[in-house]
Amino acid sequence: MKRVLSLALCLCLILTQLAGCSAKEPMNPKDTITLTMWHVYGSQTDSLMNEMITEFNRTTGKDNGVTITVTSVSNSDDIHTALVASAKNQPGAGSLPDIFVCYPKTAIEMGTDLLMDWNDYFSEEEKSQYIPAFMEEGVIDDEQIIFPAAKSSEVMFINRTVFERFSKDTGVTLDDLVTWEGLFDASIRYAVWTDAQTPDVAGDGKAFLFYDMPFNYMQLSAHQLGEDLFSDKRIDFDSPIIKSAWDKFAQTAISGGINLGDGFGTSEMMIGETVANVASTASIIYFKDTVTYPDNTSEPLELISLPYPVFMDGEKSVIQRGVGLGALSGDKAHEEAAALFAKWFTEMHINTDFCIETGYMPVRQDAYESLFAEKITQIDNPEFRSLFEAIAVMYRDYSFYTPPLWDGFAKLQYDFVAEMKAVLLSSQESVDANTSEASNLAWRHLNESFG
Amino acid sequence: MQPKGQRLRRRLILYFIVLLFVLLAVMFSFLSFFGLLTDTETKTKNILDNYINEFSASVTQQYDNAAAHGIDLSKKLSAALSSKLSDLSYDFSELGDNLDAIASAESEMTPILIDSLAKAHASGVFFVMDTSVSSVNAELSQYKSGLYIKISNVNTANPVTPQLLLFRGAAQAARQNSIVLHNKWELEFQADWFPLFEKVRAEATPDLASSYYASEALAVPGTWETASYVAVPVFGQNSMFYGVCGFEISRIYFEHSHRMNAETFRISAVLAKLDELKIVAGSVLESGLYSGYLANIDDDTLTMQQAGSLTVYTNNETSFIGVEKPISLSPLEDNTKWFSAVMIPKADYDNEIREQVILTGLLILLIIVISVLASVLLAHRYVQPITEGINQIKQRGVNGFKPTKVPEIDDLMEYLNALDEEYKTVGEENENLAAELKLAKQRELDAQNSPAVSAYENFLKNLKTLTKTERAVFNYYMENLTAQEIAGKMFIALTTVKFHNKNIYAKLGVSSRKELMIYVNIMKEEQCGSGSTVS
Repeated sequence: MKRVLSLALCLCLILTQLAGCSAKEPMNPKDTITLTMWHVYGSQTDSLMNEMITEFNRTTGKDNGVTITVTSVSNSDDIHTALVASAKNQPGAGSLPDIFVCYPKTAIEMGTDLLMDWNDYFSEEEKSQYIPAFMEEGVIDDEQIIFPAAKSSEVMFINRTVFERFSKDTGVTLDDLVTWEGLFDASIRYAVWTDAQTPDVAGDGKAFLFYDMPFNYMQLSAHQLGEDLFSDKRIDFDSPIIKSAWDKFAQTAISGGINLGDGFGTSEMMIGETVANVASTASIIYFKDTVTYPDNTSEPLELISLPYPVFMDGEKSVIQRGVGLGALSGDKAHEEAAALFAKWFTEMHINTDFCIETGYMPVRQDAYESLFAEKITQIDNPEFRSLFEAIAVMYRDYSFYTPPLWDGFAKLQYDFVAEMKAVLLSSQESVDANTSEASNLAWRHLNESFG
Repeated sequence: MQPKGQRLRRRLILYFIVLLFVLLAVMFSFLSFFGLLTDTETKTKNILDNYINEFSASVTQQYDNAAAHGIDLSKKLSAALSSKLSDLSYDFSELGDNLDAIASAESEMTPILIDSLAKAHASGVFFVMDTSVSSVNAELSQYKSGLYIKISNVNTANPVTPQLLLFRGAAQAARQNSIVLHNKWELEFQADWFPLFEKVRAEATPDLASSYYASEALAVPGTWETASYVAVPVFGQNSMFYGVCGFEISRIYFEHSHRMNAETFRISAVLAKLDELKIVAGSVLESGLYSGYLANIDDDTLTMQQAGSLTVYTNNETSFIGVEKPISLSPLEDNTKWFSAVMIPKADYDNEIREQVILTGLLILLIIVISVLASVLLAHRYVQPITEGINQIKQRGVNGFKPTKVPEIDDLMEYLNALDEEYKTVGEENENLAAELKLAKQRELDAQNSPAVSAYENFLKNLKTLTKTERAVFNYYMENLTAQEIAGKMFIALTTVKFHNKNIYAKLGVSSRKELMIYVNIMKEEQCGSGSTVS
């Protein structure tokens, strides 16, 4: 009789197993799951990331029953807005993707409870293979909320063709652009020089420089000069050092040397409106290879990269930036699948190849060292080689600055930049502006809003 | 010796199993009749049919909406451009090579396009003009002026604050309308990547409602995107062809627009053009719960083959199964026909069938096993008292029988017991009858002078106290009938006869049937002498 009961019990167990799998069950190669993904790699251009995801789906993903489908490719600002809106379930916001890239500040605004802790899927040994500073940047309340995928920094891209024409006429050289002082001086001279190209049209000078994220100038200039921009989570408007760094930037902008438009410098450079762009190293993929003029004629856009400018008497430091991977928590199979992708994407050769073609820095120690010791010499494309040479100089000589994290930091950054551009553009339009006075006025205005 | 025929228990098990199969057959017939036991193909077809109807309606509405707004946009652009040309005192044909005029016209038409894009629910809007800023430059002669604005943050079907990018058009138009240039911005359209222009121009008539065209997904140059376009001709005064305007529906926008909450299957919904039973995966738009199946395959041509009520879409790499439906999206068509399809990976479908077969098989097996076990158990329990009774008789005889709590068996055993006693009594009676008679005569002689005479007299006297039925029973004893025979004669149960016996014994003052029969025999002898019976 006992045997009969055992048999019946076994049959019941088999039947319940066949009845289906619960959502809490781990990943199963025979039961493919699909992860939706939002990322920023490639944005409006050909996306190498999309190609790599296809490669993952064909190989490791297929073997493990994981398919990743990209449902949005945007930039770090747009993805920040969309992720926060979705996380807060705001009207009109779409549902959150299973896996996405963002800055740690975005994760804080989303609410870290929604996000998985990558520590659950990486052993201590695995974690030790990654560059500690990159890992630490994504740690929030002792949890690894953002996992490093590819990191970037900032460099200055120069349109060589146009700069050489300017250099020939004015004697300004690339060496002058190494310091902020030299760069601001060259920017003002460029505005005057371009205005002089069309003597019959007054006031049509062009800006030399476009800074994609000018708030980083505020942070880095203070840091290079030995100050902290923030005091008790507010901008320190009382520091004379910070004020002097502001004056240099503001006076150049008011003089027309800095382009204060929206968007990114890549756009302005492709229509010949600016010559230099301080931007993320990863911006390189967004530059077109030609400058197009209003009559639809064009000339080649040959890029060269310079290390991030430094004040004459300042410390060499540059920002450490770059979004990382975040994933929704809750479903074990989806979490495992996200971790599988993170591990695959950060494998040494895959990560290095991706970084070399997109202007990022790899995140594992072995890949990082291999890139600067060996791979850099094998880069054929002169624009990418120039970029990685600039990154190598910074890797060797600079310290890396990581922005602080607190709830509201992202909003402060966006609001400050919008207000700053508005007030400087207003000063720019005032033809007889005394740049020094206008800079003081703008500083006082910003102090009233953010001090 | 082996008994002949089936044992009772085995016979009962067989009856139960036959009954089980009959019940199973009836149950399956009922389930089938009421549609509760449908096969996987029918079930899949029913579910996919629901999805394809919903998907087709949704897609038709989207393209119809885009066409309606395209026609509206065409009229507005026609009016705006005509007005601009009038201001400049130009004919449309004089616009070519005039940088400032074209840039100025584009700047003024940009708000019309943005407004139209917001209303139409699409991912982009365009107006390709039949002119160019550099028609005299041979290298640039294949270019067309115009505007193309795209939404960059398409992470939902309709972003609340769309981020606009100028993909084609004068930078001045972007600057004046606070739009950022797309990373792959160009001043003008290169005609060879925008084949719609020539197609629409060739067939366009001023009757816009019959002159628009919907394209399959085309690669958007310089980007990772593919997009389908709804293109409407734009005519100016005197039916002058100005160009082609319309909307872009990008792959991602399409995906977000038609996302389904399918819980049963990993459904992919596809809008494609059918070319000789082949689908070119790169030219389809895909949505559903799990999209991206077709986007991720290397060999991008799938052939279609009917498999029962479903269609199998297959290539060297993978295969899907689903249903399709013809769909009409625009009045201008080429040789290929639009259709919508809803499909799932074939492997999922095969798994579903396999699981269904295994599950049904195991379920039937489980029912059979449990039923057979139950039959064995029931038969065992049912036959047990009978076998126990038989064993008791074998071991202890009918006298040592203990009640089984089964009335029928207890009755049988009592009957057998009574029969046994009767046989014994009759035997003894035959052997001792002569001796008893002799002894009785002796007693009779002795009784005349002994107390026994008074006992017999009492017996006779007490006979009168018997009831009518007891007297009837007594009379049968007088006729030498057994208790069983008396029961038969009187049509009463043996136990009733026994009940009467007890009363008769008590009333007549005898303690056993044997003693009773002594008095009976004396009575008979007397009656033989007198020739009368007891009445």
